[in-house]
Amino acid sequence: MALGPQLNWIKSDLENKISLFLYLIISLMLSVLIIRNLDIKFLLNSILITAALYLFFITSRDLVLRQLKNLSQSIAHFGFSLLILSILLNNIFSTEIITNLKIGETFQSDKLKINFKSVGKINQQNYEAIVGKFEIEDFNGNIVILNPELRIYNQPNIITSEADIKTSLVKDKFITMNIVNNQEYFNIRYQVKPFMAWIWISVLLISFGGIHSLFRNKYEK
Amino acid sequence: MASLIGFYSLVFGLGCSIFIIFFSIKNFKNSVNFDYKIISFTFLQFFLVIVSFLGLVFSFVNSDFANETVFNHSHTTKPLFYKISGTWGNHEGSLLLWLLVLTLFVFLFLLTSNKQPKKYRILTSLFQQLIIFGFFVFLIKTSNPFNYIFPIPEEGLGLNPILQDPALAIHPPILYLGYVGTSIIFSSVLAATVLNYLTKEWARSIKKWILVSWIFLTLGILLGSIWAYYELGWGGFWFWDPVENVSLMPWLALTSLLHCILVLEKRLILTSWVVILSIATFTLSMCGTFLVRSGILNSVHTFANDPERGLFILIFLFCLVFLSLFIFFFFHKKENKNIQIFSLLSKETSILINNWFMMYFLSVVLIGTVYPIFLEVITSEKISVGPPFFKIN
Repeated sequence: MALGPQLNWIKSDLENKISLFLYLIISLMLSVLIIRNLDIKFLLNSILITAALYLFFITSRDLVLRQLKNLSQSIAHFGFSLLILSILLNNIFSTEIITNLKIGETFQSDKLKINFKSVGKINQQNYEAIVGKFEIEDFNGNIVILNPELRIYNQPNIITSEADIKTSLVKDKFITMNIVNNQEYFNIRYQVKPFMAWIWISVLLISFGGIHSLFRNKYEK
Repeated sequence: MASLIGFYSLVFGLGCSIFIIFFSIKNFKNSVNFDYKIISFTFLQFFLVIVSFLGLVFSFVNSDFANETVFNHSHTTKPLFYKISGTWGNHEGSLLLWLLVLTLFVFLFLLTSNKQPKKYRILTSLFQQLIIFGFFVFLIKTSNPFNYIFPIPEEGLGLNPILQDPALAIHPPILYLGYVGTSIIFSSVLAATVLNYLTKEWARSIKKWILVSWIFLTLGILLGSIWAYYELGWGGFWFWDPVENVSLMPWLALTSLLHCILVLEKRLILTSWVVILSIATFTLSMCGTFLVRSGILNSVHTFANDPERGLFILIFLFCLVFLSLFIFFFFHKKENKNIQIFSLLSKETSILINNWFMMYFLSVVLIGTVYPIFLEVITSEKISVGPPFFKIN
């Protein structure tokens, strides 16, 4: 995908070989920098991240340099590269804490503090919701309030767990709570998921590339 | 009353299929000009399916529990939005939606293909009608959304709460537009193969349908992922659930086809591969429907657990695959060898390599999805294949 759009039909010469090679070296160095201190399979992940970064750089360059030429292809390919990169980084850097807490209790680790402040009740047309209030404090002292729900539907009589998610461009903070049978404790699952928004944006970009191609009269050369 | 109108609309819609098939065969053999009765009847069929679908929506909105589908999947306390979306949140209603999109697409195809050869248009419509006919019979015989219950219950059983979500309300229609779009590609490629019309013009015309199908499938998968992310409470966006996999497989095949059709459009090569991919894409979409409807797969998406329905779709799918392979082997003409030449450093090669990767990914997903089914049939051992199989790090 990185090299294909640079080529011509039937036969072609790969132009800008040096710059393509330079992008590969930069991608390799960046991937080593990213994963050198992580406890993951080094060789496999460095190959994956290098490939993803390389694709990302080449498609970004195409998007900027080609401007309106083959715009749909450039957008879709850029979206795809962003998707692969976001999924990889999300997979590597996601963190999760699973613990049981009762109201008023606090979970503390070296990175964050989860304070289970209270629960409230909401009545809706077809369900009742128990809403938890959680105060999450990270090591920088930043505090976010998250309100996951347990919904008790009246028909059919089923309990569902509704996550509360604080979304930003860089990461999502995600929390769910569940009942622990016959106990006053709730099972809490808290996750920090980097680049989630970019996963959605990248798929939208891929689709937009297709939509642009559909409504364009001129076909790709 | 709405249910009654809906049911009779379905029956008359099935009747339209017979008329369209009759006029298509007559027009294919005899006349020079395209018979516009085919378009008129196709529109009538589409209109009747809309009436039938609206009949079901109306029954859901009115909480008409004399209708078995409404009774099983609705409740008076449900908000109006979920009463409406409940129409396709079940096996019968979602199949009716399939049929609606099928009839809409063949009608749009006939409207937009007036510059194409007459025989190609007729044959595409004919193949599409065979699929539509099969779905009409399936719906009326095994999955009638308008079955009547007496005595009429006071209340319904309600809709599965995890389906009561805005993203999931629009996810199925968008996904179906993608799935069903592949049927036009399938019908069109069979018609073009029979008529030896796999040309650059054909590639240009079918590319739009491939794009439409691909866009909707992409957006449908995205909506499903967003829903799973916040609704299922696992904190992920893709769980390698079998039903997620059956939407990913046609997407991979369709993405390959989207690239290959460019080669066919520019160079008039890879025709056999385009035909195979077109057949594979539709077959994978149908397989997805079969796996979800038969109850073979256990998933939040599994609506039905009825072997009769599964058997019907399996036989129907087998007939379509047999027909398409027959057409491919007996009608498809091989390409001119002289125009197949291209160098290692060319767009054609890069697209072929891209296709190999896609086919590799597709094979992995396919094996991971169907392996537990085959293992259970052969050894009665139940296993589930999930993320550890698909993740490499």
